[in-house]
Amino acid sequence: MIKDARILTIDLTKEQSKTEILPAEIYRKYPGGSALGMYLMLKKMDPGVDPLSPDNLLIFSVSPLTGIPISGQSRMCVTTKSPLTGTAGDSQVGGFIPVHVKGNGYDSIVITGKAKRPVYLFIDKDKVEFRNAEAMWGKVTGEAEKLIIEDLGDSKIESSIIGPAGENQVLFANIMHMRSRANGRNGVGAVMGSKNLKALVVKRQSIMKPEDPDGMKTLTLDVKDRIAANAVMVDTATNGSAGVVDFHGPEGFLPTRNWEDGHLEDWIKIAGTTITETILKQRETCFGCAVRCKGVVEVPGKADPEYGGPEYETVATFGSYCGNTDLGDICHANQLCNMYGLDTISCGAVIAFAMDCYERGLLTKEQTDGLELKFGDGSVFGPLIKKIAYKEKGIGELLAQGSARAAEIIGNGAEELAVTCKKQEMPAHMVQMKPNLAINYAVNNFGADHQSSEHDPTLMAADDSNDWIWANMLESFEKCDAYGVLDANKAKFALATQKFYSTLDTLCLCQFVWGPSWQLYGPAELVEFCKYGIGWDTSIKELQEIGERRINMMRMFNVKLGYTRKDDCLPPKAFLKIPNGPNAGVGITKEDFEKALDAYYEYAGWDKETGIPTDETLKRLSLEWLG
Amino acid sequence: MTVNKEETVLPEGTTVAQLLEMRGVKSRSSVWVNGKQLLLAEYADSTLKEGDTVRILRVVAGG
Repeated sequence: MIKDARILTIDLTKEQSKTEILPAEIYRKYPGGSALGMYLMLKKMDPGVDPLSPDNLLIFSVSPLTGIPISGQSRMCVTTKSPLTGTAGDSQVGGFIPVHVKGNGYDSIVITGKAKRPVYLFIDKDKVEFRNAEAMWGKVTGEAEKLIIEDLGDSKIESSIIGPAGENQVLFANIMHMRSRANGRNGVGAVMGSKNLKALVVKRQSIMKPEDPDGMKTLTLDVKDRIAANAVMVDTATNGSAGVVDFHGPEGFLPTRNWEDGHLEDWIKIAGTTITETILKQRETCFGCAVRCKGVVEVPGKADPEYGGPEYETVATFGSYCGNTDLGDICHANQLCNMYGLDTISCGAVIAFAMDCYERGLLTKEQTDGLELKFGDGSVFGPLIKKIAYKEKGIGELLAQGSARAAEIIGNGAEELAVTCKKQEMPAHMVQMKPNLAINYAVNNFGADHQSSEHDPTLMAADDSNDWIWANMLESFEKCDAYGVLDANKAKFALATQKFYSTLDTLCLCQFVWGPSWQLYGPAELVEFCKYGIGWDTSIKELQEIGERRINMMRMFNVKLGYTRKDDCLPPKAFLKIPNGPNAGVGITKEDFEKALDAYYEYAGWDKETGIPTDETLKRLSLEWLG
Repeated sequence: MTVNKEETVLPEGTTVAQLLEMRGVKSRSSVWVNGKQLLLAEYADSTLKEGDTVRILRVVAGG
C-alpha cells in the first residue's frame, strides 16, 4: 500500500531543514514525482513568484515505487516554476540518485530561499549539511563532482549538480547527474543557480525490498526474454535512443535546417547504427535496468567518454536541426552541454534558430561576434555554446534567453522562425509525421515536450502487436493508415496517452521501459508492479485518473497566471508541408489543428473557449480546492 | 507490384517478411496489402503476387 510520504523541507536562506509527513490518504492521490511536486507547489507557493527569486520552490521528488529493483524505475522529477516558459516547470532524470533519495528516507526534497554564499547540500538520512561550495562554483559539472567527493572524503554518494550555465542563470540550464544524465528541460538549473545551490548530494543507502518478492519475480526473472522478444527494446539496447534517427531519416521526418524540411541528405552519417558501429565505447545503465540504453562515445579531441554520449534529441538538434552531419561536432556539442549544464534540445534548437536568422540576414557577423552561423557548419558549436553558457555580451547573452525571447529582440520577422511552444524549443519529433504531438506540444503545461504522450505510429500498428493491444487498454481507438492525419481520434489518443505518461512521470518510471505501446512493460504489468512492489491494489482506471489529476493541477497553476487557450498554439513552422523526400507534401493545417484542439478540450473536460478545466472536471478529480 | 507507390519487381514467392528484410525495414512495421492490414503473425507466410499494392509504414518509437 501507499504509506505516508516523508517531505524534507530545506530553507537555504536560514540554513534550516525539517521533515514533514504527508498522510497516505493524500499521497495516494498524488503518489510521487511530478504530481507530488505540483501538489506541494500549489499548497506552499504563490504561482506569481519570480522564477529566479528565492521564493520559487525547487522540488526533487521520487515515488513509492522508486528503488524496488526492476528495469526503468530509477527516475526523479524536478518541479519548479520554469524561468524559460514562465509556467509550471517539470523535468525528469534517471541514473542512481533517485534510488538513494528514497534510500535516505525521503519522497520529496523541497528547497526554498537563497543561500548567502554558494553551498551544496549533503544528506545522510536525518543529517542535512549546508556545505561551502565556493571552491566548486564556476567549475564544470565533472570537476565539481570530483571536488565534492574530495571535500566529503567519500565517493559513496550520488549528486545532482549545476554547471556554469546554471550559475549564470541561462534560461535553459539543466541539472546534471553522473555527467551524462540531466533534468534537462524547463531551465531548472537556472532556478538552482539563482539559489546559490551548486549541488544536491545524497549518501548511498541500502536498497528497498519489494512487498512480494515472488510476485516481483514474475516480472523480472524473464526480463532478457522480454527484451529479446521486443524489436524496439533490442534496438534500444543496441543503439540507444539515437536509433530513432534510423526510423525518421529514411522516412524524411528529421527536422532539418530549423524545420524548413524533414528530409536530410546523408542522414545515415548521424544514424544510431552509425554511432554504434563507429564511436560507441560502451553502454551504461540506470539502477536495476536491464535495457542499458545509455551510450558512451569517444571521439579523440572532441568527446571524452566521461560525459557519455548523445541521445536521439541531441543528435537531431545539433545534427539535422542545424543541417549538420558531422558526428564529431555533435558529440563535442553534447559534451560541452553536459559540462556547462545546458539542455541539449533547447541549445541545439536555439543555435539552429540563430543559423536561420543569419542565413536570412536577420543577424549579421557583427552581431554574432564574428561567427559565421551557417547551416551545416558544426565547427561553430564549441565557441557558441561557451558564449551561451557564460552569457557573454552579444550573441551569447542573446541566445541564453532561448529562441522565443531572442526572436522578439531581433524582430524583423525572426518571430516566425522560432520553433517553440510556451517559449520552450520543440523536440525533434515532427508534427507532420506525428500530428498528435501537435496537440501535445501546444497544450502541454510546461511547453513543447515529446515525452508527454505516445506517438502516432502506435495507431498504425498491427492488430496483434503490443503497440495496438496495450494502447487500447487505455481507450478504444480507430486505426490510422497515413502520416499527417489530425482528427478527433488523434485528440482522444493524445489525451489518453498523455494521462498514462503523466502517471509515469508521477510514479517516476522510465518511458523507454514502461508505456502503453512499444515499451518493455505495459499498463497491465504496471498494475502488477504496484501490487507486488508495494502491496498497492490499483487499476488502469485509477492510474489514468492520477495522471489526469496531475495534468489538471499543472493547468490550474498556469490558469492562475492568466494562461488560456490562446497560449495553446504552435509556431508557424509546424504548419509547413514537408517540401522534399519520400513524404514530400505531408503536413497539418491550422484548421485541422483547431478542430482537434476543440475535440481534445471536450475529452479533457475543459472549456473550449478558454482551455480552463470546468468545475465538474475539478470535482471529478478531487481538485475542488483549486477552483 | 507497387510498394509505397513505387513500381517494384520481386522474385516470385517473396513473402512480406522477406520484403521487409530486403528493404531493411524492421519486422514490426505495419503492412497493408491491397488495402488490408496484415497481422504481424501473417508476415512470414503471406506471399506477394504480381499486381499487389503494398504499403509499408514504420512503427516508430519515441526517444
